[in-house]
Amino acid sequence: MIEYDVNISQKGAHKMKRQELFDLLDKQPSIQEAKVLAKKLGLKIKKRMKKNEVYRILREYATRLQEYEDSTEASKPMACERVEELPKSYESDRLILLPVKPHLVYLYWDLSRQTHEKMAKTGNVVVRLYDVTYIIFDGKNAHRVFEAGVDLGICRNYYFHVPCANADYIAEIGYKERENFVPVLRSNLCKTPSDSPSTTSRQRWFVKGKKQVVTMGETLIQPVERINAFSPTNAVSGGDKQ
Amino acid sequence: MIGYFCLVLHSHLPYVHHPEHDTFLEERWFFEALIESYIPLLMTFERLEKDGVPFKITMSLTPPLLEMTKTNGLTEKFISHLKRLIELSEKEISHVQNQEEKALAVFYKNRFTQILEYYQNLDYDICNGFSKYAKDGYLELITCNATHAFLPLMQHQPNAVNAQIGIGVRAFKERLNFRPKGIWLAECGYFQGLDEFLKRHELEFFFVDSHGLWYADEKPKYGVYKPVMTPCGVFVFARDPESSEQVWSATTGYPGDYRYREFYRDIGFDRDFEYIKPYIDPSGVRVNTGIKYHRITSKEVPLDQKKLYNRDEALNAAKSHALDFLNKKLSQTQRLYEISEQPPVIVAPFDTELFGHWWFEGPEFIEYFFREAAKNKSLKVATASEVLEKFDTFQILTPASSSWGSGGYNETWLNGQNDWIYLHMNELHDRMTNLAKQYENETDPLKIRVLNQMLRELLLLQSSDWAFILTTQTSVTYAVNRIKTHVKRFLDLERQFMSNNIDEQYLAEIEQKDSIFPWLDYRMYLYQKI
Repeated sequence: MIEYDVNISQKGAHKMKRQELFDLLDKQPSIQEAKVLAKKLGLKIKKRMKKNEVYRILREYATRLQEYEDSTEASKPMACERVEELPKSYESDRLILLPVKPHLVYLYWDLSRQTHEKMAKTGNVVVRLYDVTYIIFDGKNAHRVFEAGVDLGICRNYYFHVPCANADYIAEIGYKERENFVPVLRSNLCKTPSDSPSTTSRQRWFVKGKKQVVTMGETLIQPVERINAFSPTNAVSGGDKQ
Repeated sequence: MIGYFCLVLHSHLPYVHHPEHDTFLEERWFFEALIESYIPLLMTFERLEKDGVPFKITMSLTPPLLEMTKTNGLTEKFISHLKRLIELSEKEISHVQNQEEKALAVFYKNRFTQILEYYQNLDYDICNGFSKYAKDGYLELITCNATHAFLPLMQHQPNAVNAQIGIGVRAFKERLNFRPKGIWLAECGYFQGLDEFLKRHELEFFFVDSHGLWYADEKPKYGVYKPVMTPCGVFVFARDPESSEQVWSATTGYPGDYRYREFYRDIGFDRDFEYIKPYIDPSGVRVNTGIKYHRITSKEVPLDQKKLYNRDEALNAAKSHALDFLNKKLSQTQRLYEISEQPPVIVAPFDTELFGHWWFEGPEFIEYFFREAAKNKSLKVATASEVLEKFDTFQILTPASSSWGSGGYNETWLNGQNDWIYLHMNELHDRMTNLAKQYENETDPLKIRVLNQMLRELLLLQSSDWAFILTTQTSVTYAVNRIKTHVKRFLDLERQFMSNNIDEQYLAEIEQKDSIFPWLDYRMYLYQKI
């Protein structure tokens, strides 16, 4: 969480340039001189501004200047071995769907040449997103389907805004043949994070030394769950499993 | 006694190791952290112990940090860095203009000299210091996942998650000679089901951000103020938002006080080029030296008009802030106790580097806090494991997927500036998975070395740090180069491996550069479902 390298971004201040500005300000230039200088630097100056305001803008600019020049210098490249460009594609025919936040998912595809050609020539490539929360998806039974046309020539990924947090999504890429959607690749399952408190009033409690879970709240039946017997990862569609 | 307070410090740095260069700019991250945070904190612990103050801190040491602290090349570079700093502070004593600055120059000279001596007494390994205070019961040391990968974006790759956790536990054991009971998940990144992996590696507890409990599958009866248990039996602590705000907030937090040292004003930028040249980057790039003569003064005052730093005033500020923080914790505890009739547990996690590196007086703030806390009877400071001992009942729930990053979810590590990384990470992951399966029974030592090194490259690529840097736009070129380098080395090795044409010299070279986890076994990337 800490931006531990802000100090690095400060490096390489062109002290002379920055210092020049500060020196100039120290000499207390007239308001006209200060305004001319500010304009030369592309700073927004209003006619009514007083001398001290212009000074302040210049000073802020000089302070920023340091940071800006630093960031353009960045770190020196690693000289150990030639860093080559990364492959643009691995031709893996893979469609990956990742959760960004409760209402946003990220989809990208990496296509083989054949798949790319096969789809591109239809001129009607689409990506689809299915809400498959609590269901075993068979390609047709999604709660909702979202669709977007994409141009494979310029587009390699897609961010979908989704209406439901804490929901399961699957994506497909394919093409339209008249009214029919022909899927070509299917993604992994992606669960969006929750963004609100649970509505259930049930509570389960573990008591040291007791094997059984104590349940309170709306479920007043005897608990059947045992610690260690519950596996959220096994049930991809989520929800309570009894 | 009406409540518990758990201070949690997360200590992490990305693995930056460039033995092919005498000096390397980004290696300074590690040196600065040692000089400003880790060693001053150890010195704080020493003072507290000497005075019999019962301080309690749960502290994570991430595997990359643990590895760097025992890397000979980095230790040598660090010592010469520190010696140069001492030399610079000596020059400063005669160079500065007035008595106030001179006093500060002397302060720095003494401070750096003490740090060097302290480091020598630790036998050049800060882990010796942390181990000592852990053995004495003041610290509870915990691990982190292997290379600080952001796990919520790996949830579709169970074997990668499993490897990150398993290697995190192993790396800790290798360095500290005991099993960690708990884990700090990189960036507090949790997804539903991750607890199963922790259970598998015998980890007993972890931490989530506040909304991890607020939005859990069932409502947490005591909010974030009592640890809970996941259905598979791992305990969870949640962050107290109030403590974070009080210490961390950019606008109202303590570190912004006018009396504290100004981070951005450093003689590395202020001195004449010829004078400072031997002490900045050899390329001529100006960097922070760590010698800073000014205080924050006011946030509105530009850098060049900051007033001189006064150490006594700054320490007074730290003292009064520590007392204020303690009083706030006491009234918070009282309030929570009245509502719930249970002793609340206040969990306050921070990045270790906040204390010392960013907030110069942070270690003293911690010191004063524990000194004051020891005087009162109603708030008990405790480590995570000690808190778990105190309770007999725990609510069972599955926390919500969450992180402590901006927005609380995954967007810091997945957005328009860094989404391109995932194509490479996922591809290399898949290839590594297949190779580990296919060559599970490989016996040729050279081939095993190649597979092990490929896994090292993949793990280093998985570090959350690179995506983070691309988002914050700080050391972008370096981060991009690191991504490219690890991908390239992986693909090179894979090509050689597949064509059975292994260049042993090349392999040896990268083994030396990316020398993290010397005991690594590529089979750790295999994953059998239980």
